[in-house]
Amino acid sequence: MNAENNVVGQIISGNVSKIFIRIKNNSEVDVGDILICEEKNAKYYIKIIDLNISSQLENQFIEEIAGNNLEYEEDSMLFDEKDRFYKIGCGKILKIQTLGFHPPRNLPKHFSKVRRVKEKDFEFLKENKGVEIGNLRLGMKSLENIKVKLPSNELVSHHMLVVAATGRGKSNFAKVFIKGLMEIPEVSSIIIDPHGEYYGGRGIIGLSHHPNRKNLRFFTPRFTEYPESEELRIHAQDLEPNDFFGIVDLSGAQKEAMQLFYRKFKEEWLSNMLKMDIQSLEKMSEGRVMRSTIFTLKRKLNNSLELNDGEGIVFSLKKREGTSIFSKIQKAVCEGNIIIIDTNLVGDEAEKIISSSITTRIFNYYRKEKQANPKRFNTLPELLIVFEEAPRVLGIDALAKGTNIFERITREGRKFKVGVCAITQMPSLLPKEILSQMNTKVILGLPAPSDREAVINSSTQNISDESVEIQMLDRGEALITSPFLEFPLPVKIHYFNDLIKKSRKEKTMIFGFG
Amino acid sequence: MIFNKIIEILKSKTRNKIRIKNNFKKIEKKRSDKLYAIDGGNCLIMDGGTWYLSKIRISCVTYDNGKKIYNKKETETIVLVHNEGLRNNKKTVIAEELNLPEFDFKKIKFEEIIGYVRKYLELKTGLKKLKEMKNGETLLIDGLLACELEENKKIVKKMIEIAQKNKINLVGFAKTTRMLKNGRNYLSIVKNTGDELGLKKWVYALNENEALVKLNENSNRVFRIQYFGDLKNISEILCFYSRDKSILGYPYPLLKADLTARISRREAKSEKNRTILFLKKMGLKEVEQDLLSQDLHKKLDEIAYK
Ligand SMILES: Nc1ncnc2c1ncn2[C@@H]1O[C@H](COP(=O)(O)OP(=O)(O)O)[C@@H](O)[C@H]1O
Ligand SMILES: [Mg+2]
Repeated sequence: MNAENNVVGQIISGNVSKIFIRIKNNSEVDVGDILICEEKNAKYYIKIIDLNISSQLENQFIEEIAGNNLEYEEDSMLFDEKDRFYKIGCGKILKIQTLGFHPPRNLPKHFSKVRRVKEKDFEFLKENKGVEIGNLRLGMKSLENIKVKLPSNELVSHHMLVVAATGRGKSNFAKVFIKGLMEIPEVSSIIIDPHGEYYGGRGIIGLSHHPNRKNLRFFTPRFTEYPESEELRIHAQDLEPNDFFGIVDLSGAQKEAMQLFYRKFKEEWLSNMLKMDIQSLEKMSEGRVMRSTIFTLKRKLNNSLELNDGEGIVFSLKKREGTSIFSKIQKAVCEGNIIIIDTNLVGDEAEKIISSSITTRIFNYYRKEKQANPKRFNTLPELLIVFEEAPRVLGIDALAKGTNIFERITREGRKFKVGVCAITQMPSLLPKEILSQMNTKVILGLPAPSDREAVINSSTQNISDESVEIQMLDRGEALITSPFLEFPLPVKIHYFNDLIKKSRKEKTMIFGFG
Repeated sequence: MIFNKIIEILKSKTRNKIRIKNNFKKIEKKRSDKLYAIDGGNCLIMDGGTWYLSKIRISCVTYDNGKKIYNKKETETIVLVHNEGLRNNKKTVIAEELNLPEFDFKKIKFEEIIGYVRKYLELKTGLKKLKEMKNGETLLIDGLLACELEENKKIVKKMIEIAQKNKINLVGFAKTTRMLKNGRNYLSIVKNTGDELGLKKWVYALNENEALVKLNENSNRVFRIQYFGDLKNISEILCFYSRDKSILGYPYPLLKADLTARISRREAKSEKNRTILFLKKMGLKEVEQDLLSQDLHKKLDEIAYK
């Protein structure tokens, strides 16, 4: 294909926010395409945001033509059809490349030729280090030879948001991204997995199928069913009252009571509260806690931990033998591992207690290290906390119960190398402040206008013209905006299962086993 | 009252049916041979009362086998028309970078002169094209070939000579014609008769070099042409080119030539501004300045403007 064949149009008018292109006949240009206008000293990256059918004729003629088309087939035709009927593309300039990239503060000239992209135009993407997540996508076409990488080391602590309606590929993206993180020792991750989709096994392809699985850790109550997994068990002695605040609905009196027993019993506060009878507890409190408060608290705590005779799927009142799960996870994080926490079998509140207690411990550890031991802190991996159904902890409703560790990390995590990756199908349920803290947004199809609006308004890069594109995104098609990218990148996300098959094949070829 | 009168007039006219000779020839084939079409456009730039400035543009388009192979502005010029003295009635024209002959404008209204100059330039372009053209090709000119102005008549005569010598079809095509017979529109009488005979596309010869044509079965348009060449041949070619869906029954290349030559109001305005600027630079007096700022649009509508 020579250069001329690649020409699809010419600039005819416009301004810095919108530029109009007369599209060459029969050259298929779609909304979402990126085109290049190359002048002597500048290269314009132009994204098509709208298309119009147009003609030089006045309406009255066009109507006559349509009428003649409909009424008479014989003895009529169209002369100069290509000149008279054509498409006008409306584009926006993403960036101008001279020596480096600049925001669009200039314009191409009249009649400058506009062509399709070539591999070379995206050479700058190759310079990005990080996790390969897919191919550049132009409209519906995916360009197999232009790979998109996310600079994971930088963007992780600036938080990520993965949004899409159900089934558009949120979890798939998360798996692809985490698979990439498995290959990078400088980044650790904790994944809270409520649907049992990440680890794999039992016919599901998951992260455990990665040839590099030695730095993958899986904590699950079903540890007997998964050969290389570890037990997910949290002992009451390792929990603190704070682990319940903001999660379980508690009155002021109830919270005070918990704090009081914690001071009194130390690490046995919880098992004592749940095991001892009400009268004894009341007595222990020296009349400061009312009987009814103790009664309700016992019920609430027991319910949220899902205990049955002091034993639950995850929680246990028994005394711990060996190291606590928190220490194990902390160690794994420091070693640059990927940790999956299986909360599939527990209820909503129990899951939140699990995830927030783990997250709190590790976040506090990072914070303390930064203050007490800055040298060591610098060697710690970046940490990404991944969780699905984000509004359950970051939603406006959830935060009405009080702040929590996840909100805290969105505000302060950056300073301590800890970031969150919030996955949700309803970004409109998250407060604006939180949405704008999520610097990197992976947007898959979002049909609901309110959700699109929430995401568009909180993006650092202007994507207001892409609303229709976002609405139409099909499964696995994403628009990624991030301060770490030159411009919002349209991407076809890799299919995780294909990636795994490919990397297993490569491994077999290198080591000769199958 | 007034409408009753109109009805009475119309009735009296249709009472005795006008019979016309059956000169109809069905057009049964189409020919896609090469065709040249020429048209011009003009507009007023500035009106000084005893003089005015106009812009004229002449275009030519060429189609072969339905495909456009040439489309160009052939001539573009600013023309000054000047009424030198009301007593001797001497009117002169000067064109920018173009030699015009001495026209005899005695019988022609001052404001209509520009139309004749345009016609002259159209014919000149036609003559030039004819010299390049080959056997079997057709030259289509907007407007009839018959002229009032002596200079124009001369060019048409030359054109006919060349056309006949080289077997080229020469056709003048009248967009609008008023032909009356017994006070009634002759074109519509012929058309109605054609309809009554069940004809869809036809030529109706008026005399040796003149005919009426209906060129598309789905259109009611009837036009008058003046021609030199084989009428059957010409009508088949015109039929082929009169099938554009935006203007059935009218030769599309003529429309294209018209669009290429046409001078928009915007263009006229910018020419005016350019001229004012130039005159100012040359030290134009203030009285004249006022004159130049007259409302352009009003004048545009008054004087022959296309
Ligand atoms: N990038 C992709 N390429 C191909 N298929 C995909 C891709 N992303 C998702 N899918 C398909 O869509 C289905 C739903 O994806 P999933 O990630 O579970 O969606 P979500 O988490 O948004 O509900 C998956 O089972 C997979 O088959
Ligand atoms: Mg999912």
